Amino acid sequence: MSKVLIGRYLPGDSVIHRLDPRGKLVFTILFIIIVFWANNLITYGLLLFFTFWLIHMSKISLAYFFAGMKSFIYLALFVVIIQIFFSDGGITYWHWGILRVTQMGLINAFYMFLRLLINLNISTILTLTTSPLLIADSIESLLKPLSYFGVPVQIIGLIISIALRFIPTIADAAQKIVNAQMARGVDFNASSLKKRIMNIIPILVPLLESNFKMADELSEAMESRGYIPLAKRTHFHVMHWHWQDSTAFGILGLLAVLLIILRQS
Amino acid sequence: MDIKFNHVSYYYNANTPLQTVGFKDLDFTIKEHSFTSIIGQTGSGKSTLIQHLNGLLIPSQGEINIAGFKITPQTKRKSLSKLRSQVGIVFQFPENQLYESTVLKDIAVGPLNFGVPLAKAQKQALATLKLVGLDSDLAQRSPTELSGGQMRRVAIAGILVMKPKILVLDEPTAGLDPYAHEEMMELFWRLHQKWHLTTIMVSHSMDDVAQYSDQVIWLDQGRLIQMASPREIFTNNQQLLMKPQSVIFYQKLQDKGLQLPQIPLTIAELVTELKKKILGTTIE
Repeated sequence: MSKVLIGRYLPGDSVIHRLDPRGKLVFTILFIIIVFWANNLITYGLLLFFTFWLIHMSKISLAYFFAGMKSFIYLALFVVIIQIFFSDGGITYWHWGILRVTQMGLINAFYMFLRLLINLNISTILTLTTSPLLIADSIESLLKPLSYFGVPVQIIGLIISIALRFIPTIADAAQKIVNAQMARGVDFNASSLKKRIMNIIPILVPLLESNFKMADELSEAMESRGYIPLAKRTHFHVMHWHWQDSTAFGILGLLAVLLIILRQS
Repeated sequence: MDIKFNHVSYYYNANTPLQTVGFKDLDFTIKEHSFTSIIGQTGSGKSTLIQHLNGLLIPSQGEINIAGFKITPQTKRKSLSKLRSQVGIVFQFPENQLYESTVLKDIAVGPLNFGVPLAKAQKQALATLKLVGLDSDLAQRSPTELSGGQMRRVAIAGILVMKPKILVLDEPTAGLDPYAHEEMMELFWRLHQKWHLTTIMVSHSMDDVAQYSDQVIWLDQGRLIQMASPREIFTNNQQLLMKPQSVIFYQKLQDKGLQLPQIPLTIAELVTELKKKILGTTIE
């Protein structure tokens, strides 16, 4: 249907796919934090190259990867253009009213683009190589310490799992409704904006109705199978920590050290 | 005009690592004014096929000729909106697509979208409401107040009101009780004859398939296994797991040594043939 990759999972059998999902999640968060240390061409280049290496390791074709990122790269470019016009410092090349293009503005905008690209890459690698349910499981497992303070971690985990599990189901239901309405002549490519907005109603009303029905049926199904929210239970996917996971963090540490050495002080 | 599929294939997520076959190399002709059933297990490509009939999906390969339109992989979906007023598709569980505040408004959605003036659209809607066997008192009620069976009739009216030349039914009787099932099929059969429709029905009910179809398209895993009359399809096809009740009953009689000139497609036919056979031999 669409090529957008964010949030999509691409089953596979690579080193990256097999890593412990908890590790991958923490890795991604830490990586996004250390990206802020980069402040020159070498450090940004190093990080960008590292994300390309990860894509290569995950056995996903680069062409496919970037076809899916296209729309987000345009979005990033838009942010960058704003950045160019509204920041100053250094030599001024052009100005008109409050808009100006300066040396620092251009440099900052370029780095900002790289930073966005690096962060988009790393988070897309996470979701492409990790099934949504495993991500939900790892969030739950990482939040576990909070349960000592009375936070219902299990329920939060359940909510996340159900939400993720129902994305394709709801997308499916939405597609069916879109088809049915198109068969009745609703034109989703209408030229006028007002018409386009009004065309959301024939989708939204039936979709909400079917979602409520689904939620009702799901809760009845769970109850009739004796589901008790806070009962102690085991997981279907048991996560194991292997030496590869420790290696990944070793590499991350190395990367952080390199960044500190190579960054402009 | 006949409907022609010329070596048509469709792939989901074409040109990505997630590419899967919807159906492959379908090549057949559906005669104008005929009643055609499409059978096959879940995942055989039936629903994908019918979405090609009004341009909701565009083939990945091949060419479709339908109602004066030629659809190839290069065809833009936008250019096909007119086709949708001529091919009416009743999707599975169509009652889920109702959204207007009253029954009448919901039935009139199609004509209004295709440019019919409001007063005329409402008049047509009211007439169609009666056509599907609903009381005109329901016109001003909210669709959500109706029973499931009534809602389905309203949704079907929403398609029929456009006076399509080709009517496509995707499991129209799924989830109905036997009585409503029979009424629904009789409604479609009556319209098929009265409006000289070309009807295409996806169904899991082999009794309906045997009773109403001129021809049957049998799909399996996206491929055409056989296209033939129901009598040919249901005669000696060991692969076909589901058969009409009359055929199943006749096969049991055959095991006991009884032979009829041809397999009976309906219970009524079975009874007539048996009467002829039994009374014919005892009378002499």
